[in-house]
Formats: sequence, C-alpha cells, structure tokens
Amino acid sequence: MNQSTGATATTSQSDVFDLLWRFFSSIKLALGLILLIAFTSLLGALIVQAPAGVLNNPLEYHRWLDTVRLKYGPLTDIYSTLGLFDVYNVAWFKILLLGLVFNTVICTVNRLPSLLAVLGVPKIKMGDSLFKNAKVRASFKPRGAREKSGAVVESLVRVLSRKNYKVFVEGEGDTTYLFADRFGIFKLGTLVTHTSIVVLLVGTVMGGMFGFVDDGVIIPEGKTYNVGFGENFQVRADDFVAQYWEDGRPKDYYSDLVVIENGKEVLKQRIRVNEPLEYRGVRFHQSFFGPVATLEVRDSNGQVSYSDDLPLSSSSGFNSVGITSLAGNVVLVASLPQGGLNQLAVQLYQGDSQLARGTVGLGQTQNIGGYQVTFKGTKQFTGLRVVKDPGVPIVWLASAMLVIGVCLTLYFPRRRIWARISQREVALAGTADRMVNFQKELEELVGEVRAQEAQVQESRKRGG
Amino acid sequence: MPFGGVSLLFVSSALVALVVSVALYIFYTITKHEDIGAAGSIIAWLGTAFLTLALVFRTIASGHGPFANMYEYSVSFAWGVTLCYLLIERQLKSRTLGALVLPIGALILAMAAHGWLFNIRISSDIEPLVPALQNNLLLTVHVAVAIFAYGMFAVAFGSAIMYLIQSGSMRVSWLPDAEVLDDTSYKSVMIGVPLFALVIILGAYWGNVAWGRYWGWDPKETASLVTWLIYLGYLHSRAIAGWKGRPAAVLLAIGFAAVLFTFFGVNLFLSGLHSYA
Repeated sequence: MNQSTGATATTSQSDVFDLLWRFFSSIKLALGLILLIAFTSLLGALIVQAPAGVLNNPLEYHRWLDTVRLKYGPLTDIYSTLGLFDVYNVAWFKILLLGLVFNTVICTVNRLPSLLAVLGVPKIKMGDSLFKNAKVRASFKPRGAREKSGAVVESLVRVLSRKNYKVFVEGEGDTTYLFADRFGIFKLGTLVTHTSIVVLLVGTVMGGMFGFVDDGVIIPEGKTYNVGFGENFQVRADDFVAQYWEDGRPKDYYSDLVVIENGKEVLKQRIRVNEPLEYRGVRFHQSFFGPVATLEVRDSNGQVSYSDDLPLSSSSGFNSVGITSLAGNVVLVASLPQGGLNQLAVQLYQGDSQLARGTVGLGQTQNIGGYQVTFKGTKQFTGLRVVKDPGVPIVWLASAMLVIGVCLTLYFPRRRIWARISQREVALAGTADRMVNFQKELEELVGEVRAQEAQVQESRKRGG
Repeated sequence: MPFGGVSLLFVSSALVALVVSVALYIFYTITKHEDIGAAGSIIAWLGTAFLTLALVFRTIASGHGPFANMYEYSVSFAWGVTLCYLLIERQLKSRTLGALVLPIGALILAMAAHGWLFNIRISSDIEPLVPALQNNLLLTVHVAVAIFAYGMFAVAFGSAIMYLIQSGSMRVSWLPDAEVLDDTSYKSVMIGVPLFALVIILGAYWGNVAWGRYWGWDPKETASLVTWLIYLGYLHSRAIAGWKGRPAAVLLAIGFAAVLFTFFGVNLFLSGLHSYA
C-alpha cells in the first residue's frame, strides 16, 4: 500500500518536472518573453523615469511623484505600485530578463542532442518510405544499365563534393546508399547565439559585482580627487576648457588630468567626450562641467569657517548653485546671478529658515548675516564619470558570439541529401532548412549528375 | 558654401525623380506593362544616384558624414530605403513591391526637405558635430549600417503588407503570390537582423567610450532594442506552427512602426542623449 503511494508520488513529481521542462523549453515561451520584454522596455521609454537620486529616498520620491501627478493623474499611484517609474530596475522586469535567459538555456539543452548529432556518424542507409514520401525528392535511371552503378555513384560524389557537401557512401549488395550533408556544422550557430545570451548575463553581472560607478565626480581646476573604491591613486584636474562654435553650439570640452600614485605624477592626459583616460582599469569620462566660486567666510569672531573652491554644481531653476555647511548647522548657498562672473549671491539658512542674504562683488568682502564673506575668484570644475567595469570585455565577447551565431544560422542553411543507387534507379530525397528552394536545387543537381555521368562514361570508354 | 547648395539641389531632384518613379510603379503594378515598369526602375535608380550625390556634396560641405542631424539622417534613411529596395528588386526580378516600398523613401525625403508639409521643422542647415559625435569612424559605421538595416526592414514591411492582402480572402490577381512575398520578407529580415544587431553593438561600444557605459536605457537605445526584439520575435515565430504566415506578417508591420518610432519618434517626442539626431 505504502509502496504504491510512493510510486504515484514519484510519477507525479516527474510529471511536474516534465511539465516544467516542456514549459521552459517551448519556443512559444521564448516568443512571448521577447515580445513582453520589448513592450515593457517601450513603456520605460514612454513613461517618465524617476531620476536615480530620488529612488533611494522615500520622501524625495513622494515629492517627485507629486510633480508627475500633473501628467499622469490618478494613474500615478498605479504606475508607482507597478514600478513603471523605474521599469528597468523593477524586480518583475529582471525576472522577465532572467526568464528569457533560462528559457534560452533550456531550449538549447533540449536541442543539444540533435545539434551535436551533426558531429557524429550519420545514418546513410535509408528505408524505402523516405524515397517515396519525402517532400523533396527526385529519381532517374542511370546510364548504361548493364554495367555496375559505379559511374553514377562517382558522378554523384563528384558533383556533391563540388557543391561543398560532405559525402558518405555505404554499399549493400547491388545497391549503394549515399548521404550528403552541406553546412551541417553550421547548425551549431544556434548554440553560439544562445550561449551568447548567457555570456552577456555573466558580463553584466560581473560589472555589477567587481566594478563601480560614480557619475557625479566634481573636481575644481587645480584640485585633486581621491578615487576611492579601494583604488590607491588620485586624479588632479589642471584645467578645464569648453569651446563653442560661432553659433553657440558646443565645439569641444576637455580636461587636463594628472594621475598621481604614491605622491608621484604617473600619467598626464587630456580627456574629451570621446577620449577617456584609463588607469588601472578605471576610466575617467568627461561628463559635465560648471563654475566654481572661491570663497572665504569668517564668522563674527574673525575665525575662518570656510575657505575653499565651492563648485556651483546643483541646478536650481536657471542658476547653478553651490551648497556648503558652516559650523552651527548654518548652510551657505551661493550662486552666480544671470550667469555673470562678477557677482555672487549668497544665502544663509538654518534649517528651513533663511538667516540672511546678500551679494558680493568679485574680489570684495561683504557682511552677510554677521559673516564676512569674501568672493576671491571664479574658475571651473570638470564633472567626470568614473567607472570600472571588468565585465565589458565579456560583453563584447557575447556581442561577437551573437552576431556570428546569427549569421551562421541564417546564412548557411543546412541541406541533406540521401540517395539509393541501384542498376535500375537512382532515388534521391532531401531536406533543407528554411527558405531554400530545395526541390529546384535537387533537380538542378540531377541535371549536373547526368552530365557528369556522361563524361565519366566517356573517359572510361577511352581508358578501357 | 556652394557644395551645400548643390546638395540641396540634388535632394530636390531626387524627390522629383522618386515621386515620378512611384507613379510609374503604381501604373505598372496595375497594367503590368513591362516598359512602364522598366522606366520606373530607371528613374528610381536615377533618384538614388541624385541622393548619393546629394550625400557626397553634403559630406564635402560639412566635413563629416551626413549623419549629424535629423535632416542629414533622414536623407540618408531615404537613400537606404531606395537603394535596398532596388537591390532586392534586381535579386527578385520582380517590380511589384516598389509601389509600396518606394513611397516610404519618397515620404521620408519629402519630410526632410519639406517638413512644413507635415507640420514638423527639420532644418537643413549644416551644423558642426557636437562633442559626443566627434568620432568620425564610429559615426559613419554606426549610422551607415543602421541605414541599411532600416532599408531592409522597409522592404520587409512592404512585402508583409502585400502578404496580408494576398493571404486573405481578397486576393488581388495583379499582385505577387503570398509565398513569394513571405519569402521576400524573410530574406530582408535575414539581412536586417544581424545588421541591426551590429548597429546596437556599435552604439553600445561608442556609448562605452563616450559616456562610460555600454547600456543606459536611453530612449534611442531602448527603442532600437525594442525594434530588434520584434524582428527577433518574427524569426522565432516562423518556427511556431500557429504563428507562421499572417501573425508573422503583422509582427513585421509592428516592427516597421518601431523602426519609424526609433528613427523619428524618439528625436521628436522624447529627450535623451541621442536628441541631436
């Protein structure tokens, strides 16, 4: 009794496994996932995506939601719940992507035996039904019925070899069987393509695990930036230049960077948008730029509470503003009104309340809320994206595999021909992948074989 | 810049030639008069030659490949569509598709040259390259390959639409057989899909050099991926019994809508890193 229950349980377990296997190895699932991923990606392009900055901060996220509520109205909360404001990072989208990778793997494993069969020994001798029922077939009477079928076999082998077929021959009494395979090995193209999807996943995951990104690195001219992330070198920005065409369009942005390791300058390079600096696998990309105000702030006791280059890197309306905190929870906000470089607007806050505001001319000192603020000068900062991504070469490997695999699969459709040659009849049957008009090809082949046959006969007569 | 002016002149001549050839192709499709068809082909080749010259002069005048803004990109797109069509026409030895595919090229060209007709503004001024585009080799290869892929997808679209007509109950005797059309679509996609994969990969490579990441879900990147996925879906759909034929042809129509969205929509309606072209 117990035993039989156990047996049933095993059966149903393997049934479930079978069912899952069939589900994940189905090409319908692949098509569904491909189209679903396409649709979801499109949503991400059409629906405004939340900026990276607000996503980690619930309060800021809610503030941001209120700004898009004007556009999406009551749909806003539904979109937000579904994760549509951050589609590319939401769990269910990642599950779709992983699902497609998994599906690809199972599909490929499922087909592996039949794919690898191209490497093995083919079946040469085929039964009568193939030659009678194959969709693509042809037959003809060999010449010189009285002599052995040698001439026609030789001709077939010659013509097929000339057409890049791999030919296998097997004799049995008076009958000769032949199998010819063209581009069989390119069947493995599918394997290359599908493996590339897994390699791509490995590449992206590696980048995430062993790399880092900081896309908001700000270095005022003359200052040095410590790379961090476990890297033991610094980068100094000597100069930043933005050039414009006469019509005001940007012409060129570049920064002169110096890599410093163990206190020594080890590398100098001018970087542009298309020419990043790379050192020890870390790349420095020219990304943005902006103004810097050199400031000195003394409190009422004459003590220096701030003296540095303040990058005006946050945007507020049309102005670039720089924010720094002084002692006693006082926050200083500086901006260049109307983009000019001669006046610096300074506001002082404590919590949410404004303590004081004022304007300082270039090279002058002004008392603002009890602080002596000196506007010493302006310069620029360069904004860099600093990135280390050891997964990149793997991504290129995957890309190459994908393109090569797709080309092999699409451009080298496999053709197979079986032949049975007796004294009375030569019967041919064949199959081909996809859009090959194989019936026509086979008929042309028969024509060539017959011509070849005549030649072989001729030369034999002469020879004999 | 006299070369720029010459280029504009060639664009106008090409537009006239294409419109005339479209009329001849339509007339040919209905009457099956071979001479008219041959005349249509010759004038379409002439139009393509004009476009080639227009692009050459534009390149001389601007000093960079004709891919720097919407205008140049559109003229190149129209060139790709007509050239791909004419090459496939020679391969197929059949002219009927032209009545559907060449108007696509003519429309895109009309949009570039006379955007006001469609209520959009596309400036034909020669503009210098913005810093991100200042990589002549990648710019040329990336966009040139895209143009050919788009051209192939346009041909696939034309034959898919005809397939939808021919495989239904309203067969038209003067159009090609459904089987031939299906074959044409498949062959065009066969060329288009690897080319477009290459476009996306070259874009990713460039993105990695210029912006420090190979993928960032920028609207143009996303739209290209969506487009490619639709054609990938088409290729897979042919292995599924129920999807062969009409559903696959519908996918091709959607695919071309995605091409147009990637090409025009992203630049006109969405903002992103690609908003210069």
